[in-house]
Amino acid sequence: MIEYNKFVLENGLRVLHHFDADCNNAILNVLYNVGARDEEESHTGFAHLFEHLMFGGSINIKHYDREIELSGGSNNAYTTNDLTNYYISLPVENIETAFWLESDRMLSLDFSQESLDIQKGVVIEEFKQRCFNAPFGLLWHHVRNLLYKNHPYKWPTIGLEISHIQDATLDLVKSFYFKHYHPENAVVVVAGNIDIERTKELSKKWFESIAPRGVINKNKYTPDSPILQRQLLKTEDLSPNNAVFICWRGAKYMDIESIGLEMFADMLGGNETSILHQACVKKSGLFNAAESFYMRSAEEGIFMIYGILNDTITHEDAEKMLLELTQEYLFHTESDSLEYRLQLSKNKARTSLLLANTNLMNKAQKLAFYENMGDANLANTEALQYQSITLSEVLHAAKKHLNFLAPAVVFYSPKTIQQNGN
Amino acid sequence: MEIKNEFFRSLRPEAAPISSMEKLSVLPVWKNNRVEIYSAEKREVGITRVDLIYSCGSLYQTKNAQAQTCMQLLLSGNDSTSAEQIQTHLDSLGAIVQTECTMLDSIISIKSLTEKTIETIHYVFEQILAVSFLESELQNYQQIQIADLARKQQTPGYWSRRNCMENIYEKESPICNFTETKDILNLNSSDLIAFKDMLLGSSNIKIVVSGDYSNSVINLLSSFYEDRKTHSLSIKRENKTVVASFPSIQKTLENSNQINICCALHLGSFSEKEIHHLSLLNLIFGGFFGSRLMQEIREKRGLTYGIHSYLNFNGSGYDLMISSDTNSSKVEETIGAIQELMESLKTNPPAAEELEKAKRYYCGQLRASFDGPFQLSSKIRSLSNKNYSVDYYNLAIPAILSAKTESIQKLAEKHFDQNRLFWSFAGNISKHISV
Repeated sequence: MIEYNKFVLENGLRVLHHFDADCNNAILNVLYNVGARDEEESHTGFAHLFEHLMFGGSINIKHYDREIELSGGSNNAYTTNDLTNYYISLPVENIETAFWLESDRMLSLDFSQESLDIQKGVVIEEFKQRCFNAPFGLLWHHVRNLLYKNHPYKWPTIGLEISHIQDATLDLVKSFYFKHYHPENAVVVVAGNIDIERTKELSKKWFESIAPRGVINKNKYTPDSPILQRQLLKTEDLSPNNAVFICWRGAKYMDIESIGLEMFADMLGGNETSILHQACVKKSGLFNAAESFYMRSAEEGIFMIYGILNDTITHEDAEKMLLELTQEYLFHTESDSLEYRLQLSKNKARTSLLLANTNLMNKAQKLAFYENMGDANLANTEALQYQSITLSEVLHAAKKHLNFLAPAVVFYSPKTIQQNGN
Repeated sequence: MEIKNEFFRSLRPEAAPISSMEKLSVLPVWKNNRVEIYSAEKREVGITRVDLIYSCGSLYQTKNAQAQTCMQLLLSGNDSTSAEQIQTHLDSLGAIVQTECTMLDSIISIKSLTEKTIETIHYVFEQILAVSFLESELQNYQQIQIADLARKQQTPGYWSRRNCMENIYEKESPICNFTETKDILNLNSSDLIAFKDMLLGSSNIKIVVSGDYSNSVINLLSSFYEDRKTHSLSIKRENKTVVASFPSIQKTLENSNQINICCALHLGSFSEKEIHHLSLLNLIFGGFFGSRLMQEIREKRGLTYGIHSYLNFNGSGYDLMISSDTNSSKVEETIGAIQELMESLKTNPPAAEELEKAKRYYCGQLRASFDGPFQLSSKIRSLSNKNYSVDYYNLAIPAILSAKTESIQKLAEKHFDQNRLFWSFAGNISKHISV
């Protein structure tokens, strides 16, 4: 149970407080309701580039990181398709520094061409490192492009291409900031050995006078029509093995069906005892990995089954095998067996959630996330949702969203590798 | 758009440096001549964690990949109980069991629902004692590892680090035992049984119990280790440093998009008091976001997404390591910057503000590293591996605060010898890179 208090400042900023006496450090987490889905298709990667720019100095504070380090703290941030999240962890004695820093960059950034140019360089190197220098680095580019035609989930957070980052201008950056970075579009969470009165006092002092902008992200996006036929992309990659990835769009985060899909993915291919691993890897030796998972998102998530192939099976046969195993499992497995597997998945989920709640940062981010989704208390009821979902609901979700006639499929083949040593 | 920028916002709130922290006590709650059991402060979190730390890592293996493979297959079952049955039973208990093998130690970490802890420990111990490392399980593991290795070997970071270590240590050194396919295939069940027997029969075992637990857990563990057979360890292999006959090595991977740089410099051994000053030097050089490397090479010049330096413990001493993925066309600029910054610690040592920032950061991070119910295990492990006393933690803050510009400069002058720094490059290299 994550106990919390909530209050709303006059400018619309929501603040949540969680007391934990057992930590030396306190957390200040600021979540902005803006992610890659809020970008223009011609300027992708922007939300993530902007995340970097947020560390380039604000209107009163030139060196953000230096101030945190002087306070004995650390900080970081991440961007997803749905949101951008910033967090500071620092000695609780110095928590006011975190309020100072986060409020200042909510007030206004110190925009400069120099900072923009440098961060473009950094983000481009990150793009190369993640997408070009790692096996399956472009997987999410391919998968998203197949699954989403109109919805802005069709591009990954890192951006569609380097040129989009290269072409970012200072005007575009400023416009993005003023549209999305303001009190009504944010949730602040303060967690640690700090009482509610002090939290209110500091929140009012530092955040309340930041003017609202009246622009609340309504999170309305162009929907996609159902996918009615199989789509296939063949591509090459650094991985020395052939691989097959099969995907479908799923349910929204807040639908119980998304938990159903998550449970089904775990039952089907969540670990080495699962049907996928046993059949594909252990018994046949045709694959060296076969797994499934469901990636939840605010809007339709992604259900994925994948296999890394040994030389003894073709892409086409691998796809057939994975799909047939999944169908067999979904439609023709005895319910007793499925009930048992569902219970195992529920046990794992229970332990994972308990473990996550032993970490102060996890608790703070969970509260921020669910408040942004509409109800912070879901941080406490999610465990019950996982435990109470029925087999019928799980199977219903899988049958509804996994259209076996219309998967999105990616076939990977190895690139020709050339190596020279000197 | 008008922004209401009030005067008070330009005033930095007072931030106090961390000048002390709660003393760590590492007195075992039970021990005999082989095992020590430690317990952390109980927390009502619903999870019990038991970490079994064996001072028996790959330094003691007699074949490459033996230790790692043994640890990975510890719960792979036998003729009457399959690996799947074991994992399924653990899932039914809601238990997570993980193993880890490093050069210095091997760990079995059990996380269980509090009410199931006794049952879980019994079950895990029973399965580990009974494991026979079936050929079928070993073969399955081998084919997965071979494919995994092949993927790793596509990445520049793998090769730059490997080539680096293989040129600054003797070839037979454990730190250079980068696994090859032939190593994975060369293992058989009896190799794994031999390592397991040595592991379980070793002395100097540390067990850490943390989270939400009852004393019955400690009683169970102590009764298990009351009378157990010991096995002698094989010969402990040492890492022997060498002086490379050339300053650098490079490997072209034409499908990569960047160049990974890995540098290494032998520093020698340091006492638990000295190491904090060395750590501070490393911090200022490249150990955190505010470091010289990060600020100059990433934040000022945008040459990389990440660059950092760290101290790598090799069993008896430390190496300074530097690592970065950099823009291929700017690799020479990056090299020049690293060299200048390394030299700058001698010629332009950290002045008061820079040193104060590093100290405050270090002390804050150190104190924060004790947050959470499960941190005791990593602390005990660290002390055991490095053969430090608890003073390493309890006297850390005074040691850090005592550092002066002069002492940091002296350390840099003594140890940051660029003539001994070895460079390794891998990635999109089109011509010889000179250092």
